[in-house]
Amino acid sequence: MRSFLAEWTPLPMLGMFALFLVLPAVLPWIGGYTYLGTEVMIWAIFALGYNLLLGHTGLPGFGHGAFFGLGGYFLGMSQKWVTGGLWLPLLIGTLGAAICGAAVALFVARKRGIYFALLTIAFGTMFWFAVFILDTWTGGEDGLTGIKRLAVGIPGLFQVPLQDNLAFYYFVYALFVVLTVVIYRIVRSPFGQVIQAIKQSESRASALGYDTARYKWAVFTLSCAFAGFAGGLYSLARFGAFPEPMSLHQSGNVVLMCLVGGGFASFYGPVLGVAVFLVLRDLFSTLTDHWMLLYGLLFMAIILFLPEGILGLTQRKRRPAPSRDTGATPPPRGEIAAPGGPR
Amino acid sequence: MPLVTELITQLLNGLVLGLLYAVIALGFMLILGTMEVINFAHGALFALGGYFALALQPHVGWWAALALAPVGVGLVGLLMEFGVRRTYGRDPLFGLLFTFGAALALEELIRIVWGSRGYTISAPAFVAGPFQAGFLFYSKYRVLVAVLALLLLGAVWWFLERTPYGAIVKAGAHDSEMVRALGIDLARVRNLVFALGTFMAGIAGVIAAPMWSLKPTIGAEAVMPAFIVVVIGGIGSFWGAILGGLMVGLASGLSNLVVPRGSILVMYLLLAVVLLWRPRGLMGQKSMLEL
Amino acid sequence: MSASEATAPVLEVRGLRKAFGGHVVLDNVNLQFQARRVSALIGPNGAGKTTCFNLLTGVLAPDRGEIRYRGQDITHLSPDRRARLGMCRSFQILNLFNDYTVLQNVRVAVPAMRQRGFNLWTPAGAVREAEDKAAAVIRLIDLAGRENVEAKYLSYGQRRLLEIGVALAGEPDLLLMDEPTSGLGGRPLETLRELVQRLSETLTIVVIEHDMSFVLSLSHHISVLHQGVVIAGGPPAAIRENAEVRECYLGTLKYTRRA
Repeated sequence: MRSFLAEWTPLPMLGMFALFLVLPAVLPWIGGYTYLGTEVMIWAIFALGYNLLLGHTGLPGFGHGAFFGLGGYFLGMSQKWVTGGLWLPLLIGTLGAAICGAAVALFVARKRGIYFALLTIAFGTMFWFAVFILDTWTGGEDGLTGIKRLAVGIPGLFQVPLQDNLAFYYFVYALFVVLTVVIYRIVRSPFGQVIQAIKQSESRASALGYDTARYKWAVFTLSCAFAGFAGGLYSLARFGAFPEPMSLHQSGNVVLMCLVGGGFASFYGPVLGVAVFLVLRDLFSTLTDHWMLLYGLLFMAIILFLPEGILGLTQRKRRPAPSRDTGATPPPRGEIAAPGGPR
Repeated sequence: MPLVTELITQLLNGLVLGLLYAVIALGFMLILGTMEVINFAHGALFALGGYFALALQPHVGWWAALALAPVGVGLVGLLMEFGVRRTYGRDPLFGLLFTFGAALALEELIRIVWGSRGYTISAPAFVAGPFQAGFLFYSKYRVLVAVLALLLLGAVWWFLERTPYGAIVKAGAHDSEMVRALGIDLARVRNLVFALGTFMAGIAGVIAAPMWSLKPTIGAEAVMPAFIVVVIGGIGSFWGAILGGLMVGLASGLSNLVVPRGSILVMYLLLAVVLLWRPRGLMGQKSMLEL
Repeated sequence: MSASEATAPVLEVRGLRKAFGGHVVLDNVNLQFQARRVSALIGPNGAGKTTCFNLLTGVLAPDRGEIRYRGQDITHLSPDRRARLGMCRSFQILNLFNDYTVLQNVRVAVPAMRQRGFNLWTPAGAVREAEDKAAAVIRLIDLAGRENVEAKYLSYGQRRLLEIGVALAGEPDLLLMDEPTSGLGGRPLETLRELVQRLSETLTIVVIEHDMSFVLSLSHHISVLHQGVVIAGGPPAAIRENAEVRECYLGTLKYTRRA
């Protein structure tokens, strides 16, 4: 039983699932509302998928808002003009974002660090501009409205309409559970081992026989697929696909969410980061129209004073003493430990 | 006849735009090359320059505003650097995110002080209107922009190539350990470079304001081509930034003739083509940034 | 001995040249490494030994010359392709996965894991073959019992051994070790010595080293590099007697490079 849990849904994950299960009942008591919970789960899917790239492989992509948005647009366009329905547009949204991601990944797979970030910014904003320019398809500034939340179910047996926010919440919840488990499996798979190795030392991974560019391409594309899926859900939530999540701001936001929650240190970091972020957003915007200022200041403060994120704090305390030396000279300069990796 | 004038006008526009992009990109790249920090706030600082000039101009006139506004921006940059410096040596992501937060805060500050509406700035009286050269009417102001941009680029070139400080900045970009070992105060150098880079963003903002209207979001729109210019030109290359700027500007101008709405996307096409041909940009060296 | 000389060398280098800017680091280097022998590459600091290794493993590309592995021209192959062909390397400056445990470090190097690199579903720990192989290597490098300690928390000597273990786990036919004894003493050094002795029966080993006693006692063949040129090559006894080698180490040898 214990190993089943470890392989599929470790206890913290079960706890998280239980929390989200009862959240709609709890939220009104603390001044929240069901839609906020839905938003958290959707962005959590986005962030968990994105953290495969950022926290696990160490690649700072700064354009993923584009793929999130593209997922919504592809879903909307296919719902309106190609097929209609729920699952097929969702699939198309995901695939569309993944294909765009795969194309961008070809350019960035051999890069790292700042150069990687710079290129992802450039390409991310390219899609953003494209959405405005191709406005006969996308509705431009006004967005692609009229997306329907069709009922989900087995034809002939039962149908659950999703217009109601509560029903939609649990629809998203089911997907959130499935996808979290999927991402967890990926992290613990051989592929997950390789990408985390690449993060710690790409040169060593290469020396071990891994074509690191290919792995980086793959994890980038994968993260875009998850972003697209989440974006599809988001457009269902809002009954429309809009350009706003595709901006550079939003791409930066998801990075910050992963960081704040402790995505470098923990698998669950991104989820916590999303929750903190969205709650603060709501909180700040009730305080003042100019909540963006508070946001910006908060980000700067977090970077300066809490760079390892909230869940990273637990790592600070856990450090055991290094084992005693067995007759050797102290390590030469240059052999310093790298920052912590996700568990 | 009209087509030829149209073509020449767009070419000239492209040239002017290209020079302006080069100035923005160069300021951005100085910071990137020396400190390996992507200054997300570069756009907001660009906008700030325009707004400072807007505030100053009624009191001191256009030329004084042109001189003073960027100094104000440079001071803001100086302040920012005190925060950014705490991220040096760590994962470059942190410097990036810090400036990202700064960009958000700055943009909102602009909104608080000046509001969200756009301002149209008119060119100073002495360069208002077109001048005529044969059959061609061209905006005098844009000529001024080109001249100022060239002067700025020349000044930066002179600073980098002909002064000891410039030599230190260049060395610091390539080998910071060596520079430190030589006893040079790297912190001071970095502070200076950040101020210089942001100064350039500010002055570009002042110059550009009459050409593009002034609104809080203009920063983001202005800095996007700067990223592309830097990648196309090659990180760390002075001439790369200029070449890249000109290419992007000209491509933009020319595509305005053919497909006016898509001219932005042409930039990306250029980017993709250049990267496929020269992965490090046209004049990029293998740098620390690629490890 | 002459029987093995008749067989083709596992690794052969011809006319290798590498310059950085104006500075020539390696010039017209010719080397041969025989199968199942321990070959050492020695020379004073700055002789070009690590550059040579970087060229052998594909981290750098030579300006001129060729490298042949089992007869195949690998001069321009990427490092990962060479590793897949059976050339594994350990690094002079420790290059471990510092947040990974000993087990994770070794396991990710095992070919059985690498072949499943794009498996996104099975837990990595369930790849039996990789676990077994990793356990065997960990025993070899005397780190049994420390499988779940993160590399950054090991002592220096243990990290040095792990560095070699990771290279070993790749199941190489040719093992290249860059200054493996660097900073080692006491028990870890003994472990390393025994390990190299045992491995030389099945693997081809090429070592860069400064520790002369290690080199003289363990290697079958020594090549001496000085200012980018091979100045001597032969069995340890011959090298020890070689006057030129002595002078180059004592700094009295002035070697003028042929233009």
